[in-house]
Amino acid sequence: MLSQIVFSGIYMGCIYGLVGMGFALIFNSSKIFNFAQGEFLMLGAMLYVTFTTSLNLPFGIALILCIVSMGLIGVCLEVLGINPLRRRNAETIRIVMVTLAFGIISKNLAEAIWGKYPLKAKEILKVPHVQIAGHLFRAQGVIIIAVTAILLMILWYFFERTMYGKAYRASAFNVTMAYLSGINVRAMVMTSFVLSGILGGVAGVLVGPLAFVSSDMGAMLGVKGFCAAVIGGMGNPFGAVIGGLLIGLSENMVGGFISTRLMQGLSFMFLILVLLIRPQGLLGVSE
Amino acid sequence: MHTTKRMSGRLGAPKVIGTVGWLCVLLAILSFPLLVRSQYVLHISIVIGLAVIYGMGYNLLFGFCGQVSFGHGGFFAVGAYASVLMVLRLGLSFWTALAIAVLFTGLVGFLLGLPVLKLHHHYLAMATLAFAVIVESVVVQWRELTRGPVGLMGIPVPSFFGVPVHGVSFYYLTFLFVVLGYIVARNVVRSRFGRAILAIKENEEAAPSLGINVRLYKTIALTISALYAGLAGVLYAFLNQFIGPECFTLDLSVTAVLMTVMGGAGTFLGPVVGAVIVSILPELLYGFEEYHLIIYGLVLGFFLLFLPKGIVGGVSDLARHASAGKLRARRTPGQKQP
Amino acid sequence: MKNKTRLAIILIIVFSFLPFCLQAGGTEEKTQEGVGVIKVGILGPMAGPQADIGLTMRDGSILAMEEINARGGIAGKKFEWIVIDDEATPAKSVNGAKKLIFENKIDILLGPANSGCALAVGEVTQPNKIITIVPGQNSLLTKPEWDYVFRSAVTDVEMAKCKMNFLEDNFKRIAVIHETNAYGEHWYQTMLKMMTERGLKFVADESLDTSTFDLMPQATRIQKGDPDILLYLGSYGAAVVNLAKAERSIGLSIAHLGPGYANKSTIDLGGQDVEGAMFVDTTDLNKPQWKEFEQKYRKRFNIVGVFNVSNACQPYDAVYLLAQGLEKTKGQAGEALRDALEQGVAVDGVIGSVGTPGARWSKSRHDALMADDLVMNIVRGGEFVTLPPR
Repeated sequence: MLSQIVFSGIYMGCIYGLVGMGFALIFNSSKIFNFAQGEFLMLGAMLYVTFTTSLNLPFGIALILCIVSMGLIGVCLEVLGINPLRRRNAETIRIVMVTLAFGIISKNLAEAIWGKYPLKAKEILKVPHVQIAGHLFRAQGVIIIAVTAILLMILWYFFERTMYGKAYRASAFNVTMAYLSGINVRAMVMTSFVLSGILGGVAGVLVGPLAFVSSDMGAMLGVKGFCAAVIGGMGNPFGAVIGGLLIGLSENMVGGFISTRLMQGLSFMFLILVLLIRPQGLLGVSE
Repeated sequence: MHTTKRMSGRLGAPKVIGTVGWLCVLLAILSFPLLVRSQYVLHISIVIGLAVIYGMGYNLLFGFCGQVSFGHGGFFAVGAYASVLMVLRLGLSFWTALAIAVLFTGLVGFLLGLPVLKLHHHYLAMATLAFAVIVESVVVQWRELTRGPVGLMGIPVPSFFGVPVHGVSFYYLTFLFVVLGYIVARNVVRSRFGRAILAIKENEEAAPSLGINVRLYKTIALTISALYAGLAGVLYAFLNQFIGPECFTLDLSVTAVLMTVMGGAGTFLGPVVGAVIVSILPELLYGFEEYHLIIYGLVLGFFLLFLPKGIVGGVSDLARHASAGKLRARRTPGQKQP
Repeated sequence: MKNKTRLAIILIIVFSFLPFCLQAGGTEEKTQEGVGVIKVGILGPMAGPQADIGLTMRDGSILAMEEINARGGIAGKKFEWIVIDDEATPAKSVNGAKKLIFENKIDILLGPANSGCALAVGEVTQPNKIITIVPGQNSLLTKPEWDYVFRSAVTDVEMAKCKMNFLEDNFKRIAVIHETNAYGEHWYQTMLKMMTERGLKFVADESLDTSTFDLMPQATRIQKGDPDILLYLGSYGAAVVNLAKAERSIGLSIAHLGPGYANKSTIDLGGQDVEGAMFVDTTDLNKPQWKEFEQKYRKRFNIVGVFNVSNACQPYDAVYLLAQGLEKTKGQAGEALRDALEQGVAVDGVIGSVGTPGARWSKSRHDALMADDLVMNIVRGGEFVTLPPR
């Protein structure tokens, strides 16, 4: 039982971490809270259902198509809502409200397109569980952890080893210096939206088959992803993954060993603790 | 000189509108419930009144003091539940419960402010958001007190010396609070305290050099805004005669921010306009069935993108352009614009 | 200065009178202005996650009203209906009810579909003497002070009695899990009370939040209790599929006993995972009236595949009960209709078990069905089947 609880804590933690990373990336480049991050997850899940069920595409192709589409949606938001206001030096809170409006539109548009009933997302492996070392582990959970790990490795390489990634980190650290060094700050903001769209979308693709996909699935997962980002430290996107794992593991362990009634408030409890004791987060640098 | 004129012009809506204008407005609002035929429309107008109270309070903290809170829905809930529980469980009268609940909410605001206001910007936003969620969790989990998800029903109609306060009389009660709230807000902003919090908004680091106790003043601003939110919560509970945790989600907190930003933060009319729009828009869009929230989102996006100073700011800009246009016509060509 | 003043005054007056424009907000309305119509309001969630409850309530009642209209209506008056989506939110439900009562001037209200909303709306309809037919199960909805409220279904207390008997007769180790919403909570309190009264204890007692995606902790704790049946207390929609999948992934295979009225999403989403799930239900699928209803319903609304049977049948029978009352009052609603209904109306219609009198109302009985009228339905082969009486 312990192994299953820990395992499920890890894979849910990966989902929260992916969403949280999206929050952190956008926050890093532009100091904006993306209220639409949860809807990115939902849209990714919905598109995945269409690609695999209506169009009957195999998992790999569907995933790539989702990634491309979600990247485009990120671009959409940046071009239509974010950039016009940033160019005019609008207050951050105004831009945050625009992401909220985008979220409202996305959610209801999704409902209009995909309908009111929850939808079934195809599981990637046909079996419900795999057996490792004598224990049963949920198949979809294995996929989630594997895909998350690969994605994180790619991102790590991007940020640490490529010029573009390093430019991004510079711009997150100090915008003025980056601008003076010739870095195109707008491109960095655009990048963060594209990446957040992709991360949210992939999270949606991975989490959907666990149960079902519906137009309101973004809300709770978005909020927990947000907590993950804050706990990990908005300054470091990889911190969001740590935050996510912390939330996922503690929720499941408290639920599994103490009481299922106490599960819901945990992510916020950690959020408050972090804000009171170490506001910059576990991996963050204090301002 | 120039600054003070600009400042008072921005804050002092009365200067813009003039006494006649205000009397017209007052008359319209007072006669409205007697002219309207539908209880439904009356209900909506009361809801707008509540939203205005909620927004005015929030604006004091956000628009005039520059502190972002994403947790005012929590204060709203505290006011609602406190008053209802006092009436249902302790048998207090509506009026007593109202007074105590509002003060209690203010106290909660004060206590929250002490630890939380040392945070800034996004951290403050996150901490206040956490507060709102905690309030919701407490409401759901503490079943012995609040009956949890089932909610509290059968909230009695308030009675004023034996006369039930219901419908038209509830409208007047709400309107009375709106007017009082407006007057208090104006006086607060015009006072020394008001100037101090504006100074905090302009430059929080420099403010102490002016002899301002930043932490204390911010906390007071938060407390006052909590009082307003609590009042709105009480009125909401007794209007609908039923409350449950689903009435107090995160949306409620976000709505406060939305109203103020859209209407125009840091102005007096801003939250009023914002409250009206946010309350009325979904009702107006009823006819569009499944698309109504999409249109709602688009309208919000439109206001946010194209009216950077909020609606009130946009309108006064328009008015200024119109009068500047007249001036420009009278000037001889070749002269530079001031 | 003058321009600014004028502009501002215009703006403010416009905003103050904007509420008048609310008259323009339209809703789905079948208009037929004229003498003698019976106006019915239909209030419930028509979109979003609980849409199938509202939509089936709407469709079931429309089917009945259209049939009655086709036969010439009642005392020369025909039914007219207006549908409002309350998004399963009490505040919106109260708004919608006020709109229906004061703007659309309805005579009868069908709904709200959700108990939480109905509790709020009852405060509006009762003082205004609007006959309200609620489909919800919350026992607080029908009480002596609310004599204008009637229930088209059965209370959770009665269902609980039925379930409790079934459980006691057939199972030794009972686990329970409830959804943390108003519906689930109320069910849990009811069942817990009954268990305690009979000196029984649950071997596992868990709760779940329907927005949670991973129910592994719940599944493992249930497994630890080693139950032979799981009592699922909630709306048995998509969330139970979540639970079923979690159970399967840890190799837990256990029968569910649901609250009643399994709905479309369960079978659509659950497929194999919900085989064998049982429900105390109001509709006997062996009844000829049901088969007739099913044909008509599917044809009229183009329904293929599974749909929320009980949610659709109850309002159908309820409209026929109302019709009986309206016949007596010659189409008058309000106080006269309440009296007529309380004198006693009964319809051997779609709901109710074979061999029982069917849906009925009287002065002491504002609930259409009680424990003895119920059946046990089970999911077999992707469909609902009614078990023979125990």
